Amino acid sequence: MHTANKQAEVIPNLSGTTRSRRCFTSDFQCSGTVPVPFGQGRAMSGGADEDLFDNILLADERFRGEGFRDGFERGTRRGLQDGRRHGTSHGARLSSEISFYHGFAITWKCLLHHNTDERSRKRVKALESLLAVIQTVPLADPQSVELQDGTEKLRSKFRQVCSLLNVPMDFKEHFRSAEDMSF
Amino acid sequence: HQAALRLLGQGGGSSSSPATRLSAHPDSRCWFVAWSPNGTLLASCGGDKAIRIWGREGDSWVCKSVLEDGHQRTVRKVAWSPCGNYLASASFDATTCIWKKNNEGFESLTVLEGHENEVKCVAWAPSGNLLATCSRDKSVWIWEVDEEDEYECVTVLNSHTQDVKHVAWHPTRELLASASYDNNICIYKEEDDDWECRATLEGHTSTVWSLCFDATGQRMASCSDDRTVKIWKEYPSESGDTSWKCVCTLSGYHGRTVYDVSWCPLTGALATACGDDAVRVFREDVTSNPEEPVFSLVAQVTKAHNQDVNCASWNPKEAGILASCSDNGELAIWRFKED
Repeated sequence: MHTANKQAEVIPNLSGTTRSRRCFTSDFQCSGTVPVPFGQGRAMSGGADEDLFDNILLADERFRGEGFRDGFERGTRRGLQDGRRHGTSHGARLSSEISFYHGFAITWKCLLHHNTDERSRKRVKALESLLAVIQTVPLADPQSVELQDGTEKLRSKFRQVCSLLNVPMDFKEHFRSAEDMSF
Repeated sequence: HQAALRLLGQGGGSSSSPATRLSAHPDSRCWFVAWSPNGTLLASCGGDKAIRIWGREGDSWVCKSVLEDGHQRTVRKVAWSPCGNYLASASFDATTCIWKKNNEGFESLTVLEGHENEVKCVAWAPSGNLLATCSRDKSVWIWEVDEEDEYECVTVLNSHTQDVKHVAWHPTRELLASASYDNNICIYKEEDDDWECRATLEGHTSTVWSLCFDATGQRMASCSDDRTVKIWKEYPSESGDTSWKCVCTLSGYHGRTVYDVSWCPLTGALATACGDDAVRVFREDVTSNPEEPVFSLVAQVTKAHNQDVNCASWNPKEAGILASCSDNGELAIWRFKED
C-alpha cells in the first residue's frame, strides 16, 4: 500500500531525537532507513496516528525482543537443570570411585594390620600412601586442576597397590565363570 | 675419514662366507636383538613368540637355546640383567617374563602381570635391583627385585598420553627415560620414596620410537617417526634439578621412520635402524663444540635387510661389532671399521 502523502513514510519521533529505523518487510516497501530530524514529522499528524504507526512498524522488533527475553529465561532454567543433572551424575561417579579406593585401602589395612612380616609391612605402607593421596584430592572444587591430577595419581597408585597385593584389576574372569554355573 | 660397515666375516680372504646373516625368526618378524653384558651371546625375539639365544662357534653364529612357551603373543623386546644371569622379555600378551640362566639354557622364573595391554619394552637398571616396563596402556611401571627373586611393583607412572614405545635407564644414576607415540620423552627420578616425571622433552614432531644414553649418561639420543635423530644434553640448574636440551638434530639422512638408535659405549659411534631398510653409523666431529655437537654419517648399508630394520645394537665388549634385525625375520652381525 502506498500512501499518496510522502510524508507518511517518515517515522515521527515525539521525544525529539533523530533516529533511524530498520526497513521491515512489510507492505510499505520502505526504501531504507530514514533519519527524522526533530519536529519535521510532527506537523503532519495527530497523537493517535503516531501510536498506531508505532505499534505496527515496531511490532516485529517488539515481539522479537519479548521472545528473546522469554527464551533466554527458559534457556537459563533449562541449562541449570541439565547442568545440575550432569554434575550430579559426574560427581557421583567420581565420588563413588574414590570412595571405593578408600574402602578398599581401609579394609586391606585392617586385614594386614597384625602381620609383622616384611612383605605385609611393605603392603601396609603402600596402602597408607594410597590413603594419603585420597586425602589430597580436592573433591570440593570440580574445576580445579588438582582434582584432575590427583585423580590420575590416585588411579595409578591403586593399580600399583593391586599389583602388590596380587589383586586382579580385571574381574572379567570371575564374571565369566559365574555365568558358566548352572543349577 | 674412511669407515666401512660390512657383514662380519665378509671382506676376508676366505671364499666361504660365515653365517652372520641368520634367519632368526622364520616366517615372522625379528623385533629386537640384545647382547649379553659380556658380549658373547646375542638374544633375539620376534613375532613367532620365541626368543633365541645365539653364540659364536668358530666363525659362525649358532642358535644355542630357544625360549618358547613363555608368551602367547609376539615378544617385542628382550633385556639382559647387568649380571648376565637373567633375561627379561616384554610381550604383546601384556606380560613380562623373567628367565633365569641355568646349565641347560633358560627357565621361566616368573611372569609379571599388570599392564592392560601390549608391553612394548623392558629394561634393567644398572644396579640390577630395578626393572622398568612400558606399554600401549600409556603407563610406565617400575619393579623392584629382592634377594629372593621376588618382583614387586614400586610405582605406576602415567606421564604419557599415548602408547609408550621404549624405556631406558641412565648408565650410572637411577634415572629413567621413556619414549612415546605422543612425540615426547619423559625423564623420571625418585624423590621422597616415590617416582615422578621430572621433565618432558618436546621436540620430535612424531612418535619417538627409541632412545639411549651415551657411555657417561651426559647425553641421550632419540629417534623418531619424523625421520630424525635428536641428541639431548643434560644441564644442571640452580634449583639442583636438571633440564635436558636438544643440542643436535640429524635430519635428511633417513628416508623413513628411524626405529632404533644405539650409542656404542666403547667407541661413541651412533648406529640407527631405519624403515628404509638401511643401517647407518654416525660419528661426532672431534672439532665440534660440545654444546652444539656435529655428527656426520660415516658408514651405511642401504640394503642391510630387504625390509624395515627394527633394531641396531652395539656389542658392549667388542668394539665395532653391531647386530641388526628386520621385519623379514633376519638378524645380521656387522663389523664397523674405521681407518
